[in-house]
Amino acid sequence: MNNFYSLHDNESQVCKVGNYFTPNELGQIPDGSVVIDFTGGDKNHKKSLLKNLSEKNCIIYSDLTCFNPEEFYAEFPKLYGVFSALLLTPKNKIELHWKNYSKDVETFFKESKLELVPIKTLSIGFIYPRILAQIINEAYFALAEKIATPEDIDRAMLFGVNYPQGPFAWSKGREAVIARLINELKLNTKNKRYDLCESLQSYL
Amino acid sequence: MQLQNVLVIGAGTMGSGIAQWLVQAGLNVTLADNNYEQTEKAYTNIHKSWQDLLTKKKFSETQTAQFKKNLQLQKLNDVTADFDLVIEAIIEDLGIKKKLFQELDAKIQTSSIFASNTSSFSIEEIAKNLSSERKNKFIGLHFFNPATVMKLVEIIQTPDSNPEIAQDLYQWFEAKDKKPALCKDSPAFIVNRVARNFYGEALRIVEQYDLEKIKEVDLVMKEVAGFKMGPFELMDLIGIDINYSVTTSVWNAYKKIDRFAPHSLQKQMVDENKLGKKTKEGFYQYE
Repeated sequence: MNNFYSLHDNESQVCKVGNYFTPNELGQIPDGSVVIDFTGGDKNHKKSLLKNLSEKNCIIYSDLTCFNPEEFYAEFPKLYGVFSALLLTPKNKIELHWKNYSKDVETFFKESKLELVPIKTLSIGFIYPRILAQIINEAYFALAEKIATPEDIDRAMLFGVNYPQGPFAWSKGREAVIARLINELKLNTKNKRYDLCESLQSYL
Repeated sequence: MQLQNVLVIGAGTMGSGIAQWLVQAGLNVTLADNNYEQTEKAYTNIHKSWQDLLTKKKFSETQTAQFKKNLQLQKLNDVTADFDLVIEAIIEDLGIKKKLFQELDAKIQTSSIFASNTSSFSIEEIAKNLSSERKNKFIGLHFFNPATVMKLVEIIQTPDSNPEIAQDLYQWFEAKDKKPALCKDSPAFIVNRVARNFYGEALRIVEQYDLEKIKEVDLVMKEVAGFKMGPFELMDLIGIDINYSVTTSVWNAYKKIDRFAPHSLQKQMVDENKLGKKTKEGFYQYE
């Protein structure tokens, strides 16, 4: 898999294997390569990155945790698969949608210590990140209303409904991803259901 | 905090679970219900549970013998005054709860702490017509089912309640291996509020009944996120009607803001009497 390259930035949580670069080092990726994009960042940044890779005629598999996969598929024909790894849990499993299945890409993910859970449902924010983001947003609303402390909210969700983690522990260091995802849902649906709690707005 | 004698009112699933756990925590518990047959049934079930736990060696013979001594039954009209704590776990009907506490206020010593296990109503509203002295000692104690197993107790404070009581109970529950969480009196408290999106967002991902998508959402939430059950499996277990009713109640309590709105698929399932495991058909089918 010599023509495989991966891109990482400070939001990526996946272990780096093989040939890996940051988005500032795109010049080092040969034209026509297969690129697995693990980067985060905002939508403009992501589109600019995929545009540059498309111009290099690369085949792209991209982390679109915060965005609408269908919008990106329509805009980037060389986007062969989308996945969500920005809210990785200790299980190291990720949702992946194949537009074009590739055994080699599957192997690359395995070498990156990721287990794939193939999905057919295309949704803004995928399945797990979208549901989790909304749980976390509500926890932040409750905190803003001084209903309870973050510790008590986490404890309540852990021991009242057996959540794997409390919402504040889960979101620690990933607030920007959560905020971006909910913002994307709001922009796409115009539904007030996706109003972002004020304290998360600062991460946009 | 010195707790010794506790009155639990309501001998349904929650009341009997709370009573059993309190006895196991070392208290003298009186269980009362306006339906005495129901109280006797609960008493028999609790004793059977202790027998099972003895067989499984979770408790010793000495312990279970002591538990049995520490659980008493009473007719609701016959309850005496001398309880340190009174926990109400009756039907979720605001009027009935308010009336019950007014009667108890007149009967039970003023030093007693009053608590409601309600999951739906404002604690302040339940205590509204009580004496100010009693309001000072009125809190919410929201246990989770099964109360003998689930660790969480939400301790709900009102603007009238003495914060020291909530803090003391917090420490007491912690010492007894529960996991208390302090919470202000607000609709759905913590868990029933924050957990709404586990279901609500899953429903919005599938939008309409589609078994393949439903299975995929459940699979991802278990396999990727690490939840023990997927949202659709859990709604089937809880009862889609119950889940829909709680969602609607929370939505109403929050003045129908969009964040808490029920989904049309929930209503459709309820209208079609596809309520989950109990009707052998919900999001999934059951033999």
